[in-house]
Amino acid sequence: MRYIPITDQDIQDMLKETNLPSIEALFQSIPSSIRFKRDLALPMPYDEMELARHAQQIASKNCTSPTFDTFIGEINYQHFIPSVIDTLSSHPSFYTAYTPYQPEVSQGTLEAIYQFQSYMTHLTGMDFSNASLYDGATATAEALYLLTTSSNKKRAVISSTLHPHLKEVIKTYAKMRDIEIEEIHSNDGTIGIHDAQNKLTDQTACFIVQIPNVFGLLEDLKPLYGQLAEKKIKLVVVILEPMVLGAVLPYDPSKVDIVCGEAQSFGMETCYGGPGLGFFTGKKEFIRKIPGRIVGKTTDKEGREAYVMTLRAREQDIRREKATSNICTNHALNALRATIYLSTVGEDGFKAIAKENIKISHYAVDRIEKETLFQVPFRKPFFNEILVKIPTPHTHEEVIRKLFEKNILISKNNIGQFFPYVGESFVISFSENHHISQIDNLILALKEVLS
Amino acid sequence: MTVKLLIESSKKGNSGIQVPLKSQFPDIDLHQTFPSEWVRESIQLPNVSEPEVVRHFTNLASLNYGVDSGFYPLGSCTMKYNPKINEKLAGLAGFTKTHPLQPDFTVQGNLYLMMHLEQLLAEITGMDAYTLLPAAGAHGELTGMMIVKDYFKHKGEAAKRTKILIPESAHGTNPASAASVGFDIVEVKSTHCGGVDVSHLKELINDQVAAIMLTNPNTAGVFETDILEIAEIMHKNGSLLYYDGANLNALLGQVRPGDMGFDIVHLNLHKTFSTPHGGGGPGSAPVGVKEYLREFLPVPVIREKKNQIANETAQSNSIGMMRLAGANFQVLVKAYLYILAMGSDGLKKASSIAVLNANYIKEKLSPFIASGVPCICMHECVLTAKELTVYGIQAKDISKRLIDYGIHPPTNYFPLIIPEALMIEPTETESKETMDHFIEIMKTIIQEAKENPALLTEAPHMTPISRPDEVKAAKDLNVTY
Repeated sequence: MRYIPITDQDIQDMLKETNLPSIEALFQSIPSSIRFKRDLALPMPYDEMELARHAQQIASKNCTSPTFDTFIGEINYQHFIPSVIDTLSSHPSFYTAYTPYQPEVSQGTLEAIYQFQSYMTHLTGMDFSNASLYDGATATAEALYLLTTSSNKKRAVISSTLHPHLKEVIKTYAKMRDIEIEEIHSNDGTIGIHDAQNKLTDQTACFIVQIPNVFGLLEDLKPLYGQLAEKKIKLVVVILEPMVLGAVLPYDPSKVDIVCGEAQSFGMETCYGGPGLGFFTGKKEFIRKIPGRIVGKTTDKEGREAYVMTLRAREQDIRREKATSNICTNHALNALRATIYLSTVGEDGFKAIAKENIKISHYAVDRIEKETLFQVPFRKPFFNEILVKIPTPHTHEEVIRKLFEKNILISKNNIGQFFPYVGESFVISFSENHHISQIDNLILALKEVLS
Repeated sequence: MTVKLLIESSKKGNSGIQVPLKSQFPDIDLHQTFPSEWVRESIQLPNVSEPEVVRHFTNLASLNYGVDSGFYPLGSCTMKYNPKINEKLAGLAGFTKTHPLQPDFTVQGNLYLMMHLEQLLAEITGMDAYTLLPAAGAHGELTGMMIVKDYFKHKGEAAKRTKILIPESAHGTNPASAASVGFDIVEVKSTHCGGVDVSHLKELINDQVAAIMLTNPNTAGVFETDILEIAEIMHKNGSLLYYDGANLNALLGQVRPGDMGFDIVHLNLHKTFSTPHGGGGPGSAPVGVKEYLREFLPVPVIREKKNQIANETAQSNSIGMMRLAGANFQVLVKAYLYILAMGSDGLKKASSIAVLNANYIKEKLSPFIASGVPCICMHECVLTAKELTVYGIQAKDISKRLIDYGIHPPTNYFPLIIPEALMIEPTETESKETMDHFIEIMKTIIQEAKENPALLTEAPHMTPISRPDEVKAAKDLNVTY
């Protein structure tokens, strides 16, 4: 059989050599009343050609580039991916390995993760990074659990300008531990400073903000640093588009406790939402309480440099119900992709790509404002995406359909559903991957869909 | 010997991409666009050329060992072969270029695949409804425990049902997941075969018990023969049974968790369904439930209506969202294709051979090293090195010596109930010759342990590094350059 190299003759030989009567006898400990006696109702086995044909048929029912131009971001981004990333990350020694429990045969994975941790630490300005988590939202939920546990406070404050999906995940996790989540309201696209001043009290374990926020805007946290320090509130910055870090560090790292989020932008396809890459960086004081793996540099018996998973006493397989998190398998291969990506573009390339995102998005947004009836309600500092308001009486659904007819895809999220005060609207996202002709087409299409 | 970090090769002027970029857009002054104090200066990423990047990571890969390198009998991890066609097809642009926020009508292919996979998994496990959202086994457990919690909340019993029963032999993620959502953990004693001590279970059962988390075959690789009685005790008490799918590979097509009485299950697609482990993920852990728990599944759920398949988010009793969006979709594609390639006969054969292989190794080694459990094993066997401790040898020394012979070590020191455990899971994708070779090497190593134990305690000898100093790693913490 294709994937099973044991022949009928082997079976006979193995049974004979071990004095076992039959394979069936090996299953005799299963009560006969529940033995599964029929065939599983599955399709007949596909050979490799049939599999390829079937998969291609399914994939062809999706609408993607190059037929369609996509201007969707919010949580996942379509950046350019240099070819070396697929080539190197598909090396079987990387992708067919397990978690590096045996460091002597895992130095490749371990050293790659050590570099990943280093890159993420330098990007966010924090003291350490872990080896990865599942995604940006679960990373934030882990930060919430860590900070409510370590402070013994059952209350967290979030900005209303978090992405609604992020907010929902935070709420799912919070309610399981009876953590109260309070939202700071705003009506101008960024954190409502006045409301924040009222809601951030000494009962607050942490304050969670997202930069760039749901509207694509860069929050300015400066007016809040004093109060957060005074009330001993930990500050969590969530970044779902870390490409921004090549241009700006939009916070004072000495005032932030944890920077976590999603790093799918670094060399991963959007792939219908996964696998992406959760990251978790923070201040030194938390390192023994963090979730997930962390790789440390040490030496072997001969004094040679070596890498190993460390601070293992936090983890579930050792600490069981007292572990700092239940996470086991994380997203190591995605962390490897991010490491290869950041290594390939390098510091200068990373900065150039970040700047290109700003140039293209600002060029496109200027044109949307000037040349179309769509409005940009909050024109504040932004990176590569921004909220676009649909003029009444047109609807988001109608705009989606009409743009689709012109082979343009926009987000299915009508932001007005989550923020009624902005009305029918969506977030439009750009990247260095867009050609100027695609922007021309977009502007033309945006004009036409309203006429 | 490790490979030089890329930052040590960094030279100003190098990059793996063309810098400056050929831009078609007007230049912008960052200091004019953003507050000046935000604009970045040095970031400390390396500046290296493309060939340097390629050599660096290729050299790193050569320091690794994967299933494609050789035998990888890591117990509890089901390190089976990862079919290459699945890697290739999961990389089709029609899949990878889809965005999770595309309108549903533009991703009907993805939604069809997901809906179909849910149905296939339901059939394979005897469950009624699935979510494909959880990202890994522990995330599946968390999802399952949240369902348990909200189910009892819905019944008005949340304040009372605060306890989760977990066998002392269980995977560490079980107690960690249950504790994560605020349950108290009560440990159930294990029998000498790693199973649930039913008389102890009867002592512990009361109206505070929300659920029991079980792995079957248990973590000692033995089928839980009392499963029907356990299910009856739990259900009579109004409690639920949670199935940790880590060991499902033993049972494909032989017996289904749903038929054993489990109410909630999670599967590890990166174990049973052949998707690669990636050196520590990504995984994917669909969670299946019986009909009466369907309404608690996380959102979005996938529904077909009027010939269109859609993501539904409005579900009043759902536990809520568990991740930013989508699922680990690329992993789902691989598992789906694996199931199609195998069919019913193939999956049955996989479990049959997985069980045969484990018993073959156990029986052939039985004159040389003791079995940790006196029972017929399923897909993995646990041996114990306790008789070798008189030579100063521990289980991990045998493991480290196996590395010198080109074989990946089995799982050590798990389950915790068996001293000096060596847990061996060959899987069905190994040939008889590979296992015979492994058996011979084990015999050699056991002989070496008696005659020259230093060969083991100093092992491995043939690797780029010898055993790293783990105490130093934790004490003189260096986790970033």
